[in-house]
Amino acid sequence: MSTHLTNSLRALRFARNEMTQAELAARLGVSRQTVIAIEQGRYSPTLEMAFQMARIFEVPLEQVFQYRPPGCET
Amino acid sequence: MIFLLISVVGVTVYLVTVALRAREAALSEVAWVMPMLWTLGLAMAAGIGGDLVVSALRKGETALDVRDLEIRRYGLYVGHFFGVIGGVTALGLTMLDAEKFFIAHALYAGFVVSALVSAVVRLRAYRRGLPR
Repeated sequence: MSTHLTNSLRALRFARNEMTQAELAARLGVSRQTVIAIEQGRYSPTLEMAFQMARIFEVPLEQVFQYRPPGCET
Repeated sequence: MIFLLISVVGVTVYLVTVALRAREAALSEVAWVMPMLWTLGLAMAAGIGGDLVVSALRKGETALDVRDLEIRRYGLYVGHFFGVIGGVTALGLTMLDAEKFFIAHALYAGFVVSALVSAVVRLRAYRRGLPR
């Protein structure tokens, strides 16, 4: 039951001094399992958490998450 | 997983106890109250203990985050449906003047199935994600 959201979290973490999932989880105030689930597309974060992530990586929200509805290949 | 295990162990112990007693008396005359109270009480205590162990194992991380709460809520929501079925069945049995044994067990079955379904649904949500 994956979501229609894709994300660049993995790339952003590595670009950010290879931030670990545990570090990101601690900064977001969630468990590492939740970060893993988001990265793998098994969980859509709340809007607030999505903005928190964008702020942590200092990028616009669209650079962290991309919405790809079914049937849309681009 | 721990809650699924607790539910299964609890109901198995109870059913075996009642089945053993039913060999010597009619099913509706079996002394079921104390075994039910004990298994429900111990299952509740084990559930609380399990919660504490899980929290301790997650030390250093947030105990319950927004995803955990969403999954918990979803599990309770789905499980609740089966609790209601147990309640409605018990109500029907009461209207039909059924034996207390069957009324109580309709309720008990509702609790148990509700707990089992809730645990399975939560486990599935953790592994495969919440349904959209």
